[in-house]
Amino acid sequence: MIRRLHVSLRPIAAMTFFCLMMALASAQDAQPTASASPTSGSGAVPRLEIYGSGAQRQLITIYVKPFMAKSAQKLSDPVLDRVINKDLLLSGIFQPPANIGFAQENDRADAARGTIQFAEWVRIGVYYLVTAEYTIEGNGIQADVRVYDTASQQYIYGNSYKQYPIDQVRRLGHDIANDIIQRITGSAGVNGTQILFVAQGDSMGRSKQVAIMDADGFNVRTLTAAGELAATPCWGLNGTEIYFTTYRDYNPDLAGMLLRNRYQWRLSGQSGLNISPAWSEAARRIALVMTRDGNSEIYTIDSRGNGRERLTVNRAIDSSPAWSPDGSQIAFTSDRSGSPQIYVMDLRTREERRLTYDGNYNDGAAWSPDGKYIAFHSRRDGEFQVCTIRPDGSGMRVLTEGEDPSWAPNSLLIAFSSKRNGNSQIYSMYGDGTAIHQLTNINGGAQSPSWGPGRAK
Amino acid sequence: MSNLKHHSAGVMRAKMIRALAFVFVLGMLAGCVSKIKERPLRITTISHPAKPAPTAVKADDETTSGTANTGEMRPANPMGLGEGARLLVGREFDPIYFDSDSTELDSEARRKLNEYVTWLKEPEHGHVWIALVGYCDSGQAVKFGYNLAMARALAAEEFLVANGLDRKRIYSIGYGRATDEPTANRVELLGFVGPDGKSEPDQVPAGPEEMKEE
Repeated sequence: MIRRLHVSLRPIAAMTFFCLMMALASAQDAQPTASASPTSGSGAVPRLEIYGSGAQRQLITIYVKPFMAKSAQKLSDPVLDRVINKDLLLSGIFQPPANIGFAQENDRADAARGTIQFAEWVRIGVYYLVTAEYTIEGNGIQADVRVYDTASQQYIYGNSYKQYPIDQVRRLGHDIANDIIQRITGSAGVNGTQILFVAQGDSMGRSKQVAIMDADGFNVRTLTAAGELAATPCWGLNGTEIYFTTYRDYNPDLAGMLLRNRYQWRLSGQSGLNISPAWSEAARRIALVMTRDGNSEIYTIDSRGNGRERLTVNRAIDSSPAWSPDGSQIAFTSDRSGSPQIYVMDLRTREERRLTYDGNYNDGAAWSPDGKYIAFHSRRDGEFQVCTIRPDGSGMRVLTEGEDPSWAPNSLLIAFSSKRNGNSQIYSMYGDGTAIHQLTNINGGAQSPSWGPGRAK
Repeated sequence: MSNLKHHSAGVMRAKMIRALAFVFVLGMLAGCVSKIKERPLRITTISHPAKPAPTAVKADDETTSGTANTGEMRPANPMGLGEGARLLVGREFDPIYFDSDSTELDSEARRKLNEYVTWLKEPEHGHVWIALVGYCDSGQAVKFGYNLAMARALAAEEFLVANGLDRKRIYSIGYGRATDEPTANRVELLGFVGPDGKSEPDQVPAGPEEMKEE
């Protein structure tokens, strides 16, 4: 059996070294604490860039040792391991060891010796090693987690996660994964956030329900009634509300819903379309499309449907609005040039500029929360491709087959719909088009994802 | 916002007429069918969870600014009249078709629409309302597709109006992507007999309000 020796001269070294230094810098105060809640990182400003210096981005190899039960009572299945490993995979930053058999072998060796044989882990290419124990007491579960850097043989992060109800064990897993990601990369994890989408009915085909799921694809619930046609959901005020279009009164009206109790109200019921809502927390307004004045135009209203303002005046279709994160600009689609292209309007001056020139069908703009990129879809040879472009119109990239991109709150991941495996389903990927993972498996198909804001801890 | 209405008189009346129309059709069919079990005509069912006090809507009014839109009205959608009101029209209208990506009415579409508008303008058909339902194929993006589908319905609406049909008798809706390609690029024309032989739909609220209960 030949094990290839991975020395730290690989392309990943620079990045890992940087991360390591960052992690070491904070390792001093990162000793396990008796704090009741997990430590959260220093905010949502990502240190990672989705497009690095141009070299092929390398994933960081991490291995999470199986969670050991300290209490007599044990979890019936290894749900913590599963949640954390999936979260790390979905992050688009980490990968498991290429050969899991070697890792399990190392595990047994460590257990036999009672210490971690770091050199063996380095030998199989593992950069970070996570060990964890849990204790179940009554209806509560507690976990103690430690993260080691194998090359330096340093303990870099640890925490004691307490007071989690046993029925929220998945949330515990998400919190652990977020902290691991935050500590190693400096970027916030998005585990525990949620994604809205439209779930299509199967047999009769006409039913489209607004649905919600955890960002790892679990806990899918429908929010609107079966048999009703709904479309284009988005997140609203403080992440506690959603806005969407419903045809329940035979007209595409815009509705609001409180997620807490699913209480609904009508935001706009003008004749014709009231569709494609986009909420700006900064501007505290909803941008949407209405056809009340004869054709598709962009308007804004407040979260209670009042104070309507018209933004576009054009005989062409103006659609698909998306706010800049500071609420000062709106990207939208217009076919005023003859084909759908993306434009950006400055809300103060009302000046409009064309953003996309590449391709003859560009739509579905989504501004990254850090303001650095606009993702959209482009029809090429009859197939939609998710693309990104800088807000100044430079650096357009075609990423992968798919439609309706929506950024995660950390500006690193993108949810989108894709037909790559048959009918349309929701996927997530890293912002450079790698690390693509299928999230939904809805019989009738799924589309129009909208990634929710970060979860309040 | 404080005076939220659950139903408008127009919707109530529309429901009554719809029921009457259905009974009428049932009566006509009764001769050849021994027993038809009545079922609800509405396509949709709405189930609400326990509803909180309406104050929930006003919980955070800090975004409310500018003109209040409450009290705005729109014409009632004839599709709310149901299948019975459609059968009473006594004729169907072939859909009109569009080229991919196009909202232009071709000569065949114009020919059909001309025929329909002539028929609709005849005095004995003055009580027929028309719903124009636009679709597109899956070559359209979901978001843009709703707009393209609506633009097709509006193109047909403009043609009918330009040829003398009262706009109040027309209701245009965009339904986005249709599932039944290759005929997805179309506008369906659905005729409905208005209640009491009225030549235009009632107005219903269009501004913000509490969702109607079933």
